[in-house]
Amino acid sequence: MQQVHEEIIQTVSRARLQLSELDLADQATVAAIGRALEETIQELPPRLTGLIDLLTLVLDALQAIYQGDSPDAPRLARAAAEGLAAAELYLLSEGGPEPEVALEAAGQALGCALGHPTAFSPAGPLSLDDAAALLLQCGPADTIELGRVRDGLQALVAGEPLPSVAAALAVQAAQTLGSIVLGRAANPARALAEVGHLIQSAMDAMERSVPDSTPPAPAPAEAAPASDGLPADADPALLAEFILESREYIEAAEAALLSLETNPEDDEAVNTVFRVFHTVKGTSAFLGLRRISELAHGAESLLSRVRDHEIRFTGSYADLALRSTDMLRELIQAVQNALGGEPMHLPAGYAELLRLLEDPETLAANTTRDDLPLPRLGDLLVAQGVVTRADVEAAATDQGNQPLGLALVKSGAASIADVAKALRTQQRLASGDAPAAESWVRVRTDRLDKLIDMVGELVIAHSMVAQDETVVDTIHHELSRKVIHAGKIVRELQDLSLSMRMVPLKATFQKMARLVRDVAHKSGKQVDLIVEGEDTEIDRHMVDVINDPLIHMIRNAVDHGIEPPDVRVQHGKPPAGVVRLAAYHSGGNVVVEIEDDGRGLDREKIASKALARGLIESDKGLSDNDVFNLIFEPGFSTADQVTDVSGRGVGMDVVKRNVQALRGRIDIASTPGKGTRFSLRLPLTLAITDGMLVKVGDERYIIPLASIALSFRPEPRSLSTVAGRGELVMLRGDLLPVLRLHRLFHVPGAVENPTQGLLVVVGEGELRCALLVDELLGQQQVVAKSLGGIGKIQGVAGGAILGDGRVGLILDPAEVVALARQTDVDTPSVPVIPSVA
Amino acid sequence: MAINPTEPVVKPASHAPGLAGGKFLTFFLADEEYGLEILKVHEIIGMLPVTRVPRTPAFIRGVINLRGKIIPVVDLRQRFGMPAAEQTNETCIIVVQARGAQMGIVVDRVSEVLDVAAQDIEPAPQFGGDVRTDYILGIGKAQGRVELLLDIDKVLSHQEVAAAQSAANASNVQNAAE
Repeated sequence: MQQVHEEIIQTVSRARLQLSELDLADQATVAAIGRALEETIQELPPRLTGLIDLLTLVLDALQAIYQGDSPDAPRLARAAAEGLAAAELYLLSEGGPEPEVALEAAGQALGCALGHPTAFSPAGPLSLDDAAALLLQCGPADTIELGRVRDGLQALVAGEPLPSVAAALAVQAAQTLGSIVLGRAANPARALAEVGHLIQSAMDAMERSVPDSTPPAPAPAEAAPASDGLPADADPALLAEFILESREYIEAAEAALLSLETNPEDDEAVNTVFRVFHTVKGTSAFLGLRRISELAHGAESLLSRVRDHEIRFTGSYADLALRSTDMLRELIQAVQNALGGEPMHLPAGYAELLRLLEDPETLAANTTRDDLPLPRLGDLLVAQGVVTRADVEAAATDQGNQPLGLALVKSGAASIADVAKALRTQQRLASGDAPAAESWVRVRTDRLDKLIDMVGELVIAHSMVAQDETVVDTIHHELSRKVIHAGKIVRELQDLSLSMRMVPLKATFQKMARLVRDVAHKSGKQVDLIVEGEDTEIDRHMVDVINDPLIHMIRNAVDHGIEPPDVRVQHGKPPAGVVRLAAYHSGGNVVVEIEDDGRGLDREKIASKALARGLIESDKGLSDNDVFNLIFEPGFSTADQVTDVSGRGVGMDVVKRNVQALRGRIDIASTPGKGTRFSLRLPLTLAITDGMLVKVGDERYIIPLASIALSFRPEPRSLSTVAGRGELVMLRGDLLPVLRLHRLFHVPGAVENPTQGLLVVVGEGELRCALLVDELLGQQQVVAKSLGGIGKIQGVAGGAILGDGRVGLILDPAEVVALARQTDVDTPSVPVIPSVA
Repeated sequence: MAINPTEPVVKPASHAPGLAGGKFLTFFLADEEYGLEILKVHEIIGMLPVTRVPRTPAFIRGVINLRGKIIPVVDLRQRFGMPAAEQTNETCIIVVQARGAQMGIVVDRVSEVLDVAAQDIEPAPQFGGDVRTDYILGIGKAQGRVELLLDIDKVLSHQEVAAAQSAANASNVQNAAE
């Protein structure tokens, strides 16, 4: 008996293998498989009715393939192979509920493929109402009933002319049901709920379509350009929400589409895009935005074909999908304009795009269809820690023509349960229903800011408790232990709350990917973008501000940096250029690098341009870096021709200004012929300022550390006055005006004699001067805040809560100096100096 | 309480225009009792260390840290030109919402929350001369007392602050023109 069993398994396994590699025209093989199976069925013990039924179905399928009368032979062959796989699993596991279900499911799939869905479930077409009613009685585990509902829906769609939206929804419901039945749904209960919604929407769609009795016309809707505008009963609030949501969705879709460009087999990305189109379609249909829902429907159909591996997401299909997202964006903009009272215009090219979506093959030359590589079973098992890599290698070498899973089981490396689990994982990955690991809550930013404020306050309040003398000098050690424990929690809370401000650069970088693609297309270049460190986090305020500089620099890299393909080949480079966008943390800063492997900066050209513009008198004695930095001068461009992407000479100076406004720095490194690298060095957050706490009389001020050059106590003989009032100090041969902070801010009780206090040198160039303070109290990181309703005070950049809970004012040295120049007569401006010197 | 026969009969014309009655928080500056619409009041806090802000009008005491938020504090005595007073443990800060921002006002003593009916409010009298009454909504008479009901938006108006500031920075304009 045991031997017979073994033999049956081998026959089934061989048949499966043959079937999966089958040339459908090869009738001899089909017949051979059929004969082998027929014999097997005879040998099977009659109690295995499920297995026998399934194998009979497989036989039917083979018959159909053999006779060539099946409309979709490849699908049939796949279904048959799946059926055999299920049978194999069933035989190997010798019973158990799971293989039983798999058997059932495979049978149903096969039945469908054979075109008689009633083979396994004796249900005819169901009406949507019936389907909904049946569904209510089913749980996620009632796979057989659910299978019946699915088949009923499929029969309904096939049999009755439904409005197109309802039909699409019903098909989707059937698909989702299918995934539940086959055990592929990550969360059957949720999937079931989704099915419920889909059927409900389908019913709604039916009802809506009743009055105007729209035919289920997927035909080009060219003759309906009229009646554009918002539906009369549109709710502006709902529309606004729709606009906001849809934009986010579209962004997500774009990101996924771009990742598909590099990896067309990424099923998760396909699903993301599909879901976006699907959601937009549903919502827009609900809101009566017909144009949007039509387009989304077209795009969804395209994606669903990609999802079903009917077409590969490459070339023209990819373009089509991207164009669809663009068009959706424009349509949504049009809706927003319409909300503002403008007339709603259909964006140009809408009809054409819709037609292309209906029939993408007119555009597409590539309709290659090959089965997608899945993560290999061995890899999954190794990842699950069931077997070692060596086991897999060994099993793979002597597996012969049996599947790896089988070989592993036979060699005793893995149990059948492990293999079955891995197989299911593999299937789940294949269907793209990998469980979502992260979930999100959207929080208003002002609440978040408030939370961060409160936590900061908590830290200060706690440190007050911890430093209270009753705690410090206590004999109750238990108390101080508890205070220390609370302190740890508070600090952790602070770290957490600060991290909530931080967002990864991913979204920004993804936008750049799109930009590179577009600019490269426009300028006829081939450019690969390599993105590194997109998970690097940065303050969310910073993200917005660095966006524009990045766009400028990426454009420059692609448009100016990378050479056209023919030039590159002449120089012995690969025709496709590489732009690398990288981000990483370095010493409390975030560094963003944009590097291209293009022609590099041309020192000669920059120097001659600068000479012509009178920026320099000669480039002799200038380092390469000095020359390169000239490109940051306003209106400077070395591009020979102005293109519509760059070369107008506005850009790099804006970049530099923006970066400096963020207290950041920008460096250039360039090698002629090899490429250019721009490094942006930015502080992690704008909210936290490194400051020097200084004392002036009874007041304490914070001077940003970045603007302090040095501080020193002057010698009496280094001080001099102008006209008895303006004071100057000599520092290493330079004369600096002395500015008395206490006089400017009217602070009583401050140190009057500079030799008793300290001079802090701030500012650059003409604004350089020395501020007189009493003493330095130490360096401190502070969180800059506004002074509330008081408005802007010249010389004060904002306030910060100091360690003792009081408010300290953050000075703006540049403004302080400017203020002194404007108001005080006792501070001479620099041009006066020569008369003294 | 018996009806006071000397109290005037209801005369709608004497009502302060646009001011309905309601609850008022009353407080003292020296011997004068003032009232603030309760809806404008956020909270009452004890005196906190105040950081002086340079180049602001004298009636702005400075800024305080209200649980992590920095808000300006106005010295009402200064604002009304009254002599400064010693700080006692009854001195406190009333945090109010004025013109969309939170501000604190320093008062000598908080008294109570009072119901003032619309007919008990009379329009602010005109004294002439340098006595300004434009930030007085009206005069409430309840339980035989007189409260000066303040229009806090006017007391702390941005124009006032801005005017004071632009006076301080008047020379900026000249310098900018150079």
